[in-house]
Amino acid sequence: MTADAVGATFAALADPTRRHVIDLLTDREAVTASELARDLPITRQAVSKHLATLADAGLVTSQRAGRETRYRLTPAPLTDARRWIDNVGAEWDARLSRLARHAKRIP
Amino acid sequence: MSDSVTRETVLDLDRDDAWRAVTDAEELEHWLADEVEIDLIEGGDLHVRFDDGRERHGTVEEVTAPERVVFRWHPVPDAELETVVRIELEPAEQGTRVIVVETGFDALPIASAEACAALNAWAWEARLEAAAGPVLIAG
Repeated sequence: MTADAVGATFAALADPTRRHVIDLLTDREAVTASELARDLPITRQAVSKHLATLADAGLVTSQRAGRETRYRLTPAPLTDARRWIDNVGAEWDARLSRLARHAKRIP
Repeated sequence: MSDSVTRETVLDLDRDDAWRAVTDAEELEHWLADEVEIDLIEGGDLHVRFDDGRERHGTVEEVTAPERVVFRWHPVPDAELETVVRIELEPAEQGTRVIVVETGFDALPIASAEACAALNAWAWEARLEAAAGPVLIAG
């Protein structure tokens, strides 16, 4: 996963309302924006906007069923973002071994 | 996930040379990133570019020569998220010990309760599906 994609995931998660939406979606199969709005202190339109941002980050997918659109959580980007964070230690390992090699060349 | 990552190494250099190796832009370009710009004063700008083109901006927080340099940087682009990197130098038997501690991961939204709950729920579902698999085949 690219750093940009991780950035999009983080940006999507940075908003507390969107995290609340994720929380609501975690416990349910597939829900409409109106159903979500009932459990949130915001309008259905605002819920739809947040769902669109989550969808752009790949965290939510939508499916039309008749006249309604149902949303479901797709947590793969969360796993990728988590893995990316887990990789921070390996990045420092690589940098420090380059530093140690470089230090040997300093007179 | 833990809030901090700690790594260390021992350099075959005295502390003043080690200090240069971890604070001088030209030296940093040998190991930290491909391109490094650093204004080595409190509040000074830090800018690095890695070999894959990724860039990071940051701010120098503390400069205590030749012991400690601390900076904040943004681990991902387009997000107001930052971690803190502390590089400490200690005299060691065979030179100078460099200790790097990067902190702030708990404050990243991927560590939020909601993200963790979603990840756990998903992991459970995957495990249940994996558990159901062999039974179906056997049946």
